[in-house]
Amino acid sequence: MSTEIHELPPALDHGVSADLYRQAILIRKVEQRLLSLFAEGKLFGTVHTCIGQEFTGVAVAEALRPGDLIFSNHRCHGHFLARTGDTDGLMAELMGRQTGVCGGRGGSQHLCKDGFFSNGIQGGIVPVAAGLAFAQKLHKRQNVSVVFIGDGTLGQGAVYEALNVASKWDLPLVIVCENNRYSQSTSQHQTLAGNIRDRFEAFGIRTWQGDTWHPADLILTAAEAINYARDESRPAFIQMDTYRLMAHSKGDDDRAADELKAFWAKDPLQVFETEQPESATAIGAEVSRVVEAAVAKADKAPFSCAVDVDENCPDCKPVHWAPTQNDETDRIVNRIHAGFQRNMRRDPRIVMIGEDIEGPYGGAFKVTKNLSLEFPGRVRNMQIAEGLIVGMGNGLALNGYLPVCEIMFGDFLALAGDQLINHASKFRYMYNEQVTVPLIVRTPMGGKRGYAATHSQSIEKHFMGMPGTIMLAIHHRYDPALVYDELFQSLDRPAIVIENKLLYGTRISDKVPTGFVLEHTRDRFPTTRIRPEGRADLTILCYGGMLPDVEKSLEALFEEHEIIAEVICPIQLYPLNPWPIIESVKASGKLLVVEEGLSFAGFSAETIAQIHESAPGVLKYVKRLASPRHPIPACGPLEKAVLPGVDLILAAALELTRHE
Amino acid sequence: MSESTPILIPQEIVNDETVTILQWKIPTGARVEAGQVLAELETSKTAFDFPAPMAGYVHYTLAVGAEPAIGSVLCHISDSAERPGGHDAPKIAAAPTNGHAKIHKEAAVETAIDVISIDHPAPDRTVEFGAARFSKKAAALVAQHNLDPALFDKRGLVREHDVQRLIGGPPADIAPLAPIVQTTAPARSVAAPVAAAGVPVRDEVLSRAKRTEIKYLASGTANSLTSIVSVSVPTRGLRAAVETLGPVGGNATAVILFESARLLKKYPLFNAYYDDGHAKLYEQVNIGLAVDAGKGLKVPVIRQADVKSIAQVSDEIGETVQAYLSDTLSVESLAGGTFTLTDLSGEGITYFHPLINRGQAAILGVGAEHFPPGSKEGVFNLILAFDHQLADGRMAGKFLGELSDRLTAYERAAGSPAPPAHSGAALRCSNCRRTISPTDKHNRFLVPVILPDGSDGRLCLICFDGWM
Repeated sequence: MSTEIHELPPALDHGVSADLYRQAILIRKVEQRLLSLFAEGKLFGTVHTCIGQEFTGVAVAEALRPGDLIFSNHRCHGHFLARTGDTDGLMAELMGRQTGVCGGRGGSQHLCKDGFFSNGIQGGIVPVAAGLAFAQKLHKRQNVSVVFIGDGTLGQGAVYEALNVASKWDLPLVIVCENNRYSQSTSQHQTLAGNIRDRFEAFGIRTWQGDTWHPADLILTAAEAINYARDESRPAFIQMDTYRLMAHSKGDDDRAADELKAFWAKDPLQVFETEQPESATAIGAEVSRVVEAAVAKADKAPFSCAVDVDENCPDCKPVHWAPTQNDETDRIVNRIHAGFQRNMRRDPRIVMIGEDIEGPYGGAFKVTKNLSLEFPGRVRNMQIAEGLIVGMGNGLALNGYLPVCEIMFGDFLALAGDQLINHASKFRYMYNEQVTVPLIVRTPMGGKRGYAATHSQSIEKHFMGMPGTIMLAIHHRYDPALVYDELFQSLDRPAIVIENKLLYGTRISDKVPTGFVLEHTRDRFPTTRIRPEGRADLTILCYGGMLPDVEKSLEALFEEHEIIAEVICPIQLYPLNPWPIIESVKASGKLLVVEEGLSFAGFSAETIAQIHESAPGVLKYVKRLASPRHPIPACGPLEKAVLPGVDLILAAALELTRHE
Repeated sequence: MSESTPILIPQEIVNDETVTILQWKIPTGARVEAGQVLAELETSKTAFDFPAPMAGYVHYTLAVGAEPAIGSVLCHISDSAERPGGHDAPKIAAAPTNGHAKIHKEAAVETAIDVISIDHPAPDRTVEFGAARFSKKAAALVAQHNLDPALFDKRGLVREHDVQRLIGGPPADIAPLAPIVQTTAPARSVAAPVAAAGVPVRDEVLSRAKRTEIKYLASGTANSLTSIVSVSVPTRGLRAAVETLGPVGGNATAVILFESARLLKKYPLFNAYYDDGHAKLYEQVNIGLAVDAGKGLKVPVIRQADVKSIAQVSDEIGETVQAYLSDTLSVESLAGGTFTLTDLSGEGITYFHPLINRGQAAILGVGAEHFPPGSKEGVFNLILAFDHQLADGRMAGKFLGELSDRLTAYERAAGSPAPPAHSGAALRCSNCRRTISPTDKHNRFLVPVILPDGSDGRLCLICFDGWM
């Protein structure tokens, strides 16, 4: 289906100098070469070209200073070349070579070099760019953060979350919208309500507008907007009207031929070539040599190769156990607070963002109490927007800070899913270890408080096992302040910390039931073991908020049923070290895994698989106890009856130990 | 790279976590043949020669005196005299069994499970389990048999079968520890009472405790053909024992109980009960100690007295008396004991007739010191009441004679000059504090051992092997 011609390009007043032509034609020739390389089968996946839009990147790059940052999108080659000029690095990257800017790991949409980043996710990059801008502001640098979006990106809510905070917090964030009239193949007439600038102005953001058919004017406009953001520490919006002369990607162009023809006719580069053929030919030949040289170099370079990715897994064997002694007996909530307080005193890079976390309210569960008073400006209430909170955290982490994001209820982590899955966990690897993302996302999970289906879940399994991240679950047998000490001192990747709601009021204690001893491994984030003397009849594996119930079951199993169980409770859920569990199961042969979330494709399933893979045969009988396969009911007694608790653990353990 | 196999330290003694390297028989780097003694190792019980499980060149770093953990690497045997570089590489032989190191070549997948057990470090010695914790069934069984919960100290979690093991097997396999003998008569003296004619009578119900006591004693008496033998023993030995042992076990009752317990292993018919033509021999020596200091007769039981040191026995008696005086004795009947000791010396009584308790075959009475006419040397009586259905007077006499000898021997031990000990100090058994007695064939040796607290000690053969 073809679309009608809605609007022709404005009259051309290109004002293109030889120098501007050189910058733009480099971008175009690189992309044209990419298309031919694609045809030759030398590229992987697809490419999104910006042919026709080259001057957007050129205009922005003209106004930037060292230290300014750019976050670009899937159509980023032009922005990258305009800012860095690294033809060799880009060409090699797209050809999957080790000499690429990201070692061939990132590819077309995931570039990183000297403060230039790109990611192929629409919308999510804007909160990240806002985080970069927030960091610029905290650093007290006269630097801006620029984010490139397209008019298609305007459909994403994340954009507006970021606009709000950028305006409210006076962030030096420049939003550049390349308005090329199409979201992939869909005309904006079908999807865009109102007009674009009004949206930004509604947030109190000053807007500018220019187009790529007036490149000289566009450069001036961009400079004015960027200088405003820099000088006033305010967000600025630039609408850059333009037109993509080639397909969105490959073979997905069904725009009207007439429309395309009209825009091609007004293409400033073609016009320059017509008007100044000698100059254009000379520059073109020179640029072509640069491009061909880049291709030739990349062609000789080796492909990106598998490298050992440090998975931060504790050295598995042997398992060293030490008796646990907790001098602290305070409540968990106070211990987390204490951990934050002492680390924030020590390290000014730690900043906290979240909902309702400033004092005197101090968070829904009072973890942050009066930290905002002791550390002015470093503990900030944010609007209700979990995606933004974690996105800002990502930006802060990329720009030299140690952000802690509080998600008020673990259920809301789903709203931050894009930031965790497509941003936080990806940057380090796909940018070829040029960056780390020392981000802490902490959130209370769990039920039994009558909060019902959407405020009681344990949904950590959906975020467990993202390569390049760690997931921790604190509990009352190991001081959470020590967990946070370790995190703040050695964090080099996103960490999701699960804090069970019911545990907040529980006191730290090393007094385990009589007849058992408390031990932990010597890992950074230890695994706890509650061990009877001699061989146990079964091993119970659990984490976080399930531990107190498992301990109670331990007592009942012994007192009433003559069954001795050993408990293994890791803090670090991912990457998981299965060996402390294997060691126990090797003796008992029976494993009961208790988790409060769902077991299908969850922690228990994964653990059982790992044990069986790592030590075939030790596991003789297995049982999983987890959340029921329906949402959590509001009715208190019903909720308690269906969520794993002492009674269900007992029943499961008895069933398991019936096997001989 | 040469092939190098780690040699692991085998488990010789179940309770040991480490061994001590006493001596290397082969210098490091030298060649050893399979079966040739590599080292002399010492466990808490014994020293043993550790043979090389394979031929090759031995490499080790552990020095004499080191205490490596069971299952850890003692040394490597390689096919080269050159010390291999990668000793830490995870090339592990399988866990040794039956005291012999089995050698497996590296086979990552197959040995994956074995690796766990080998790499598992010895449990931390500082871990203490403290007082035992009983399951409900175990607690019921303990109460039923009047067992002292302290028996299970440091045993962690105690279940029904743990208690059954202690009292001699699962319930199906054994008779009750102290069976109640069924009599058709009511639990009192067999003959019907006959009042003195013409004398008015006031009726007083006996206390519940007293009635219980009667029931048990009557049951014991009714099932027994009781006979009594007695010997007089010079008091000097006992006095010497009290003085020598001092605060460790300086308690005459403790010394007598301690010695009786060991002797009962040799005279099992006194540690038994009679049942319809059968001698039922107890496999433990649990000595009831009759106590009556004004709060009624109670017989708390010293469990497994034959394997306890004199200090332990003395401590337990002290605790028992304290508990008696403070009315906190958990054991309130005579059941549970396999033999009884009753000491009335404190009352000045020199001779009495003790009554055999239910489910037992003998009771030993201890009388007060007295001086036979014309003698300056004090003596005291040991009185053994026993069930003639099982034993006879000659055996009872031998028992008492031997017990008398043992008690008197303390004087010899105390009075004899200190043997030429290596250390210069008198060599004593670390457990019972006996010295070497040249006259006692059982006591000619003291065996060097490592005591539970890790210090060096010596055990007499009696304490080491038990009475044979």
